[in-house]
Amino acid sequence: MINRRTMLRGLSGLAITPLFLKTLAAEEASANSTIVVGILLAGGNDGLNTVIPLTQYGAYARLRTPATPPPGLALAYAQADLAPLAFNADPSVGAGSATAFAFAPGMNAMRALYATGHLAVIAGVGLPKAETNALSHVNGQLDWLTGQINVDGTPPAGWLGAALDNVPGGLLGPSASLGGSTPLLTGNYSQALVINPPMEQFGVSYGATDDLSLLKKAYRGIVALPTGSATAAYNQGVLASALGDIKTVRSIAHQEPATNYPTPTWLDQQLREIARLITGGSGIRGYYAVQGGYDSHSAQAQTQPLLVQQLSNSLSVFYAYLQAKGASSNVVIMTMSDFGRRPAANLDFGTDHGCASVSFVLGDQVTGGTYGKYPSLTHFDENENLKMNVDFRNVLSDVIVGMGGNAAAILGQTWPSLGFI
Amino acid sequence: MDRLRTGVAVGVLAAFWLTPMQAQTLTPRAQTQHLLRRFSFSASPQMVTTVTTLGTAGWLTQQDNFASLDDSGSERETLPTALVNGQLPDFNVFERVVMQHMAFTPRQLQAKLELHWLDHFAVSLAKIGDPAVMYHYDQTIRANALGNFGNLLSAVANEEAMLEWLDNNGNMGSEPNENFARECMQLYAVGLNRLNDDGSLQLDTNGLPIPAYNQTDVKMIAEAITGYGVVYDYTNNNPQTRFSVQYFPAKHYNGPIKIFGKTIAVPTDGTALAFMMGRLARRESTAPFEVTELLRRFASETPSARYIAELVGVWRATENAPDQIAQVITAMVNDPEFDQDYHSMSRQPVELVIDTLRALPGQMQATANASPGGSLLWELNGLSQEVFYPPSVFSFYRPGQLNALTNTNVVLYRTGVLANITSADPTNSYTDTYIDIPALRAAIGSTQAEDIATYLLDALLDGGTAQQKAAIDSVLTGTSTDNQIRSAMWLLLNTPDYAVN
Repeated sequence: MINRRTMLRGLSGLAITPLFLKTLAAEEASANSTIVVGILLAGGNDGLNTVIPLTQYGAYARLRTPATPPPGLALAYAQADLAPLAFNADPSVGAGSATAFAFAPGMNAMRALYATGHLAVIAGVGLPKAETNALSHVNGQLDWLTGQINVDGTPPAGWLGAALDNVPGGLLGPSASLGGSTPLLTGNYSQALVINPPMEQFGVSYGATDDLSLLKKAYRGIVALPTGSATAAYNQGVLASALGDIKTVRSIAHQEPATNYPTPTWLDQQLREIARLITGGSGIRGYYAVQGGYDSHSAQAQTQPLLVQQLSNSLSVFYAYLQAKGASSNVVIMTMSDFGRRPAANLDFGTDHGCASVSFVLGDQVTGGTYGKYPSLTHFDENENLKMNVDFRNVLSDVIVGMGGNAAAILGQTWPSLGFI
Repeated sequence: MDRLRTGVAVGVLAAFWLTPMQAQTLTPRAQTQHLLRRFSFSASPQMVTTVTTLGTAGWLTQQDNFASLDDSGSERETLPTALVNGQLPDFNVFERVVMQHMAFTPRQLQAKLELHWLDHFAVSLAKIGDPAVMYHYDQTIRANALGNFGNLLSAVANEEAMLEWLDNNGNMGSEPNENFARECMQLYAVGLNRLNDDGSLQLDTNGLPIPAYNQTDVKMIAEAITGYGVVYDYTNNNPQTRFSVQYFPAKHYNGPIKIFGKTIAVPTDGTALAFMMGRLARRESTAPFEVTELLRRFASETPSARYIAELVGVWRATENAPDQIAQVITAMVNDPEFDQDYHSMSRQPVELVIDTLRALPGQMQATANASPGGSLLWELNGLSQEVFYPPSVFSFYRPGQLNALTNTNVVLYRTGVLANITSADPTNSYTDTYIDIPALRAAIGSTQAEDIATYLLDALLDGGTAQQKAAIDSVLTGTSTDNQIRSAMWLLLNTPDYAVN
């Protein structure tokens, strides 16, 4: 069987025909072929204003109203606005009968996904006390992306990259990022293919020349010459990877035009390319996308509600596209975020760095419902933050196990199954 | 296999890190090229010769006295002093002028430190919204780039752009906005964890790092610096002078402040921000934190403990000196480890672009359809380093992790950026940045392919190798055409060796 280790490719590149792609994808379908799409909500998403605990509404409203808000800055959602998006732990309970939680207004698409029984809402998830800098963006993101805590210096392998270390990858390797470089997909032996949407632009742009074929030949030659330093060798390795992938990426782009996929946001643009790579038979098993803007210290009502609405819509469009293409059966989509926000708003009508938040996991393999325990809004930790009750690594563990990986080896300890996969 | 190839390259790099550094003996010319890549935006072969003759000490002295270097011709445009119908006539001119200055100022050391501090104190126009405010911020950073760190930190904290970026603009009363207080400590001043003077982590009895501050410190500092706001005078039509920072005593928290375990008396006369920044600049961990970052950006991504400790000593000794940063830079360059780290770091995207313009005779121009350097803004955005738009409070990359800026997308995207620069025809009215081929030919002083190749290799690759020369010989013939020269430049600029600083 041809896999990414046995397939040798020089800088000149092998001519891979599209027919190979489907063949390879079919070969690998017999093994665990779960594809994980990790989405980072960068900045620290306010879980309390994403999934609102209706049973604690009074405390919620008080915490989120530090003073009379100016127009447009009110943080606490009105109960009437939450009712249409209410849900219980049992996804089959309709909004009209639900009394436990509610998605934020605007997250209608997420509510609809929840009703399908394939969306897990994990509450109270966060970084453990043992993380000495749990309120730092750097540490929060690194923890989520590596599955480790107290990371110092050069990050270790990402948990998803490590999970794919020994997994046969496709023609483009095991992982791809549409959101720039990321530790998430750095394995012990490999790094991710990084593409900036759209895929059609992935390639070399040649300079002015009197003889293009001569220039192309000279280029391929000069970039393959021995380099003068280890850093240059690193650059060369990345370039060699990129050059070797151009034909395949463009072939998939041609094959999967996705011309009707709506892309009103940057997240949509990233997810569209991920969808194309999945349906195009790339064989990639790990993906990364990012949605920024969640660091809502000030005037939160002007940013965060729109972000979670966009997230909701983007996930819905992405999942529906895969389902329509018959490609959703082995795809698991999960959200991660640096940390949550403080339960009490500040006088700038924003929220500062806090602890527990919510994560979403979506997919055909996912058993929908609520997991974890929603933190109390009256009993906080010593820093007046929500108490975390689901270690973020526990969430990662279930996903790693679901894709056939060794979660204990990657995360450093064994976690009990939360049960959403 | 491509991923495996990359993994092998990573392994090569790791092996390089793990083996003791071999003593590097650089020729005087190579030393100069190394110095000018790190502490200026590279230089033409002629300038390299001039600086080699001047010597490192001479060049540093000249650059430290930057006021004596005539800067007047470095900006290619005049900034607006009047709004048109309440709007800026050209939103991007402020950012373009900053790029022009980096490319053409003789005050190169200051410009390089300006880039460093812009990254360190990262603020994004995406949130600020007013490019004149960003430009004012840049000017404050530039003025203090080689000065005293405490003054720089205080000046930055009091800038309109920083107040808006990290929300100290709305920080008031007893429920403070903690954003600036937290990020100032973590990113700008003391760092996350306590450090020894050699840059190593201080550890507790369980072997864990000791945080440099706690949540109480964050909240208390946030309370101490309440009461500041950015005010716009909308009757003033000058975009550069219509904003100011003001202090509102009624919004200041006057309760007790206990920071780092000590109760302190915070001024209530509007100087609280400067007061707190002064204290943070002098915290014990600030010196190793700042020095390690300077070393990681300019010398080596893995500086030795000895190197760090040496420079921390200089930092502490010059704590009150008006040219503290300049003295630390001089000590950095004079240390033998500086030359050991020749070609050890990747070029940042801004360096890739500006270095190219300075090593070759690059120019920017205004035409009916173009503004000087306008295309560079979009191209740097594509390369993930447009100076007015850092992606987050993290800046463009974490010091020590410069390779995060090298990925499959960037290495291909830059072929296009370099193609645009080398291929641009100045007679085209859409050309805003180009290599001046006639000036390049004049600098080479010969029309022969051999001489052209030798010059370009010296300008771009410190002389290069015989194999690299053979590669560009294949596109240069006899008396080379302009396009052949463009091809040769493009080839050399896209080598992995050029991607290295």
